[in-house]
Order: sequence, then C-alpha cells, then structure tokens
Amino acid sequence: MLLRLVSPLFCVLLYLALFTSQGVAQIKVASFSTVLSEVAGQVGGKVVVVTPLVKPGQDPHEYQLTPGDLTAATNSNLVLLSGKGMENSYLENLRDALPKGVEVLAVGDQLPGLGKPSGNTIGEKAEDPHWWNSVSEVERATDVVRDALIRLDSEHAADYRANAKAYLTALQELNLWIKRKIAELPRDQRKLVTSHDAFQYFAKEYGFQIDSIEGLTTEQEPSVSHVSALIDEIKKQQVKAIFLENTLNPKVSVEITRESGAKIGGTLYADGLGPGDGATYVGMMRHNVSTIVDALK
Amino acid sequence: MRGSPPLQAVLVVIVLLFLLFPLRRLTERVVANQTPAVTIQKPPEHVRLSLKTTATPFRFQITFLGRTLWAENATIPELGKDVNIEFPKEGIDLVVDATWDTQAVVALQISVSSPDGTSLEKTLWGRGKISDVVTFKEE
Repeated sequence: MLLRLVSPLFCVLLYLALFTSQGVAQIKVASFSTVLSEVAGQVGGKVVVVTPLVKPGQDPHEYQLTPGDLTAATNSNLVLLSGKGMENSYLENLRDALPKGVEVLAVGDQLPGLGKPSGNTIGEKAEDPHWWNSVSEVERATDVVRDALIRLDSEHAADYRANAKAYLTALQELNLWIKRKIAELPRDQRKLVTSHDAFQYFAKEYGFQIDSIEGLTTEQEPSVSHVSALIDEIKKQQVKAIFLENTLNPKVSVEITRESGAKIGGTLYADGLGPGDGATYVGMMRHNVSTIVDALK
Repeated sequence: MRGSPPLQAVLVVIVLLFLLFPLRRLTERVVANQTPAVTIQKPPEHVRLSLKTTATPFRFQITFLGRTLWAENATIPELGKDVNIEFPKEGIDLVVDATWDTQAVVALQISVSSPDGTSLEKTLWGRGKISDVVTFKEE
C-alpha cells in the first residue's frame, strides 16, 4: 500500500527535478565589468549564471588576467567586456585563449560613444571608456546584453525581454531622479574636478564642465605642469569642491585643495560598482550624484 | 686680506641691505594669485514663462533650483507668468510636474523668453501625468 503511494510521488518529483534542471542555468556569463555583471544578472534572471571576474571595488584599469579567471571565461558561453579600450592590456591574450564557441562581447564598442572629448579643458584627446557613468548608456548596454542572451538562448527570449524591460524601467526612474537632483544646482556651477578622467559621459548627459588630475586611465601619473594648470583653473573657475575616488590614492587631490582653496567634496565611484552604497548600479549613481550636488551647491 | 674687519662687516651689511629688496621680491608668494576671485553675481533676469496644453483642467508645478516658481490648478489651455530668475549663458533647468484628469495622451508646451528676448520652447508628452526636467539654453 505504502509502495503504491510512494511510487507515483517519486515519479512526479523526478520529473520536476529533470524539468527544473532543463530550465535553470543554461547560460554561463563571465564578466570583466562590475556594471555588466549586474546588467547580465538582471536580464538573465534565474536562467543565467554570472561569474564576475572584476570584483566590486577593484580598479579595472589595474586588473590583470589570472589563470583562474581565464578558466572561468573559458567555461562560459558569453564573455562580457567593458570595451572602448578598457581591457586592452589583456584582450589579445584573452581572445587567443578562449575556445571558438565562447562569444566575446565588448559592450562599450556597441555604444555610439562621445565622438570627441566633452567639456574637458585640460587633458588628452582620447575616447573615454567609462560609459556607465551615464544612465542612458547603461540603458543601451542593457539592450545589447539582452540581444546577446536571446541570440545564445532563444528558448528563453521572452524571459530576457521581460527582465530587461523591468530593469530598464528602474533605470529610467533612476535617470529622472538624477535629473531632478542635478536641477538643484545652477548650470553655471556644474564644474566637476575628479581624480581621473572618468566622467565625460556624465558631464555630457547632465551639463557639467569637467577636469581631472589623472587621465583616462589610473596608470598615468599627473605631471607637475598639469597639476599646476589645474590649480589655476580651479581658482579661475571658482570650483567649490574636488572629488576623490574609491579606488585611488587621495594624496594629490588633498594637496590641490590646499593650494586652490577648494574643499574635498567626497568620494565617488568612478570605475564601477564598489562596497557600501555602490553595491548596486542605482545605489552607485545615487551616491555619486548626491555627493556632487551637495558639495557644489 | 686688506682692510679692517669692522669695515668689512659694515660693507657686508650694506651689500645685504641692497640685496634685501630684490631677494624679497623673488622669494615672496604672489599675493594676487592667493586672493580668491571675486564672484560677480548677475542680477535676476526678467523671464516670461508660458504654458500651452492639449487638455484641461490640469494641475502643474514648475520648480527652479529647488524652489517653486509657479504652481496652479488651471482650467484654461494657455497661461503665462513673469518671473525674475538668474539666467546664465549655460542655461536653466526647470522641473515640470503636471497631472490631468484624463488618462489620454496629453502634451504640454513650455516656452521661456530668454533675457535677450529669444523664445525657447520644449514640448513634453505623457498619459495623464508628466514629470521631467527641461533645459533651456541659448545656442
């Protein structure tokens, strides 16, 4: 009697287990960007397993490809890169080592970009790879990731579309909040001086004039003449505050505040997600915008 | 060495006194660079705000730099108001919130006459509700 009851129950459980294993974790994504790790996780939902190789709080400019990370990338279906030159130091080795079945997607390279540097009065003329500092660019990146997942796994296309739509709604709400917060700051006071040149997209989208101590990467040390010119510019433009970054040494910034009379406005997440407020993209952007507006008001 | 030591000492003191002024000029910090630049506040400009909508009645609020410039329950489709605000060459951002009784598609045109008399216009669209930030800047 007991056996008669248990046998059908066992069959049902076995069927459910098999059905469930077919529906979950079919696609493996390895991500070299903290922001893209979040985007892939949000769009992929339960169907996708994301392995973040560049961790929150880690400086992506200083990242070095490790054998363990290479193995994780090799075992993936999709490898996500920031693009726009961010991974140049190891991209060739990565591409050479990956099997042909692994799709490598440099998401930033799919975005239109700025064309030319915007608003930076001092500094070099190269393309800014920090596209995630504009919410509109992250919205476009979400579309790119969604399309890549559908290409790889059309069976779950409806899930990816629904997940992407929900995430895009959250991003649009974030963008409206940012615009309202920044509207508290007169447009002629929107002068943003940061540790490195990571805010060109932010400046273009929200009407800021920008300058930075270091260049587009954190590996470039600032020259004495550049720091001197920057101090003069801060005085001339009457910049109220300059901003530190969570992954960089504040020594030069503190010295500049001594010479220029500007104050330290706070610490920004420039290179992607980090600890604390910056654990999510929405949290990171809210932190950055509140810090900037409150210090420059 | 020729000459008396006291005389030499006096000569050294005289030479040092002569050098004092140019040395001071060369070594002191330029005071002008340390003086903070004087902020010249531009006086508020006279600006004409105009609204035109496709449906009435509607309620709206226009906020500038965190303060409400204009808020009304309106029953007519076209309204205007004169305000005095700072209008730098970088432009101004107005936060616009409006609601209608209808859930149909509505449009709200916001016009701003800039200080030099140029009329700048922006149109927002929504379904019963609009909430956005619009920038007015002379190109």
